Amino acid sequence: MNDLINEVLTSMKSNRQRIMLTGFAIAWGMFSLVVMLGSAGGIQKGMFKSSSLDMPQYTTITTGKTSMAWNGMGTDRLVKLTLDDAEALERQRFDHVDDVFPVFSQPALASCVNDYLKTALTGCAPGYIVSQYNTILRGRDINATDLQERRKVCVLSDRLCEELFGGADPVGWRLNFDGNSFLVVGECKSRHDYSIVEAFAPISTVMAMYSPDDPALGMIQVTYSGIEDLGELQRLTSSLRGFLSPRLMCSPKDNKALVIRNDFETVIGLSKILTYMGVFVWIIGIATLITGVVGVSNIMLITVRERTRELGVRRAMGASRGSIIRLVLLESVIITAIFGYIGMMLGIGMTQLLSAVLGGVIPYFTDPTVKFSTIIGCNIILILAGIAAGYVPARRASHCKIVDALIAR
Amino acid sequence: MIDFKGIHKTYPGEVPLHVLKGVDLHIDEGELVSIMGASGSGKSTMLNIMGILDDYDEGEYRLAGKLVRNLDDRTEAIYRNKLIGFIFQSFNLIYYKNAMENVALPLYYRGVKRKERNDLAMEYLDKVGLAEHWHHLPMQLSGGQRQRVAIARALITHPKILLADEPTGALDSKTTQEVMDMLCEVNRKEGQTVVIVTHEQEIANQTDRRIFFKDGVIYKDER
Repeated sequence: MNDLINEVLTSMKSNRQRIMLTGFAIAWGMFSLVVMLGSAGGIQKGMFKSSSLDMPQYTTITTGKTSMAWNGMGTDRLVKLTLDDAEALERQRFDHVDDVFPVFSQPALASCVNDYLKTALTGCAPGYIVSQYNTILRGRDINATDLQERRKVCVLSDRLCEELFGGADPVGWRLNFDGNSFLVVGECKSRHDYSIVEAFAPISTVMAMYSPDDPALGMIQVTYSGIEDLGELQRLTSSLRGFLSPRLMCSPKDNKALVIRNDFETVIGLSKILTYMGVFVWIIGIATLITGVVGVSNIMLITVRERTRELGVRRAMGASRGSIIRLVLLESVIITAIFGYIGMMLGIGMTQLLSAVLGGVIPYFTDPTVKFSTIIGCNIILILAGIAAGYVPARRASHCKIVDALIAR
Repeated sequence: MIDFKGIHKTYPGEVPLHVLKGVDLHIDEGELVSIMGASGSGKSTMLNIMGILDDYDEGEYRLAGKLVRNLDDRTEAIYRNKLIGFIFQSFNLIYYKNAMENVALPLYYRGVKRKERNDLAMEYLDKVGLAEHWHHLPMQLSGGQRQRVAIARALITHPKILLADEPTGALDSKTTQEVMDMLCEVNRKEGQTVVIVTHEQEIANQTDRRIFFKDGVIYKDER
């Protein structure tokens, strides 16, 4: 094999200019493939990261009527979540789960001295308001004592404050919800661009007001962190479903009885777009590489034509067809591998440069580097490309009649 | 050594060309033979068939007792490498290889290690008086020197037969004689069978046997 490689290298040395031109096409193809893959990966990572930050990091659990029979029980049964379920979830300590919030929301008429307004009164636990991407602008959040003592205190959204208090500090004022007087203890502002008219109060207070005899919650909200991909999120959802279904006496497969929502549609939709984008980039990259391969193949054909006489001499000296094929194929593979590798390394260098210069500067563009598995894939593509580029010329070279080859010009 | 029985060869085409029309020929081991004839008489085709560079349509060709017919490519390559040495009119040296590498080429296809084949190549270059030119590329050598490199390349495998197709066709008279002396010496000293295709009577006169071709048949065979 050393001898064969040496033979090929000697031949390559004698055709430096041709080799350089051919190699450039392959190097450029591989460079483009790596940079495009890196950039697409950077956009994918950037978009996922951004979407993770912008989208609520929580899962909402609601219930409805059963659509599947389970354990001898029929369909159309109304399934209800209770505070016990929320506490059980909390005790279970699922991976990645930070908090479990029972929520009971009710439409209510809010009125003060000057004005009144239809709003949503959300009964919740301490921490829930902040988990909804709100910041406390004035006053304080609902606390554990409020919850325990069923205090009639509330935190208002900035928009509700604007509507009822004209932007003045509402903390310390009193507000009626459907005739029950609440002390305003805080004002919150959404970190989203939009804000809704909403008020928050201790869940114990709100449930006692609106549903004293029915322990059913409106929903349970589970906040999580450290989840990097959809697979992990889906595993968490399955765990929650697996835990709650027996408690609620419904089938784990019954998506109508137990509804767990992660804004999956958005995330999956985004993920699909990113996947299609990845596939598209591969297609473009491979097409660019194929252009290079066709270039190599053409040059190899010309080379074989130029070297017809030499190949004839080699056959006269005892070279078999197989050895001629090996000679041409190996030359093709070496050209493709060396220049492809140069292109790949330059491409990796470029992605590193992009990462250093643009990472964190351009929105939705994070760490535009290629994975190790992609590098391995590129190497395999290089070898295959080399074989593909050399195969036709090699076959042509080996099938030329020796007597014709020996008199070729 | 070489045994032709009723060899026919036709080149296909719009008008098929029947080049060899039932050639019978026997050449013994150690003979120094020249084949003469006008252009298109079939002498080069004959040499190509002898050298397993071309095939024949009808008849039977035995080389060193082995029937050369429908051989697979590998066997043909082995026969060419082990039994035959070629010398061509246009030298057919590989332009990017130096003299030593050109001489060593047949040994490469025999699987001889590089150092060993280079040593042997130097030995044969020395025999043809070109040891000091071992590193020269063909283009840096004169016509006579190139042909001597080609002769060294043909001899390096100790072939049973040396086939030379117009070996002096591109050389001046002085160099021609040098080359012929070399071929005669190989025949005399090594006992190798040498077959030379030529159209020069002077060359043919230096061989022990002269075979004349005309219209695809041997019309004269003199010793």
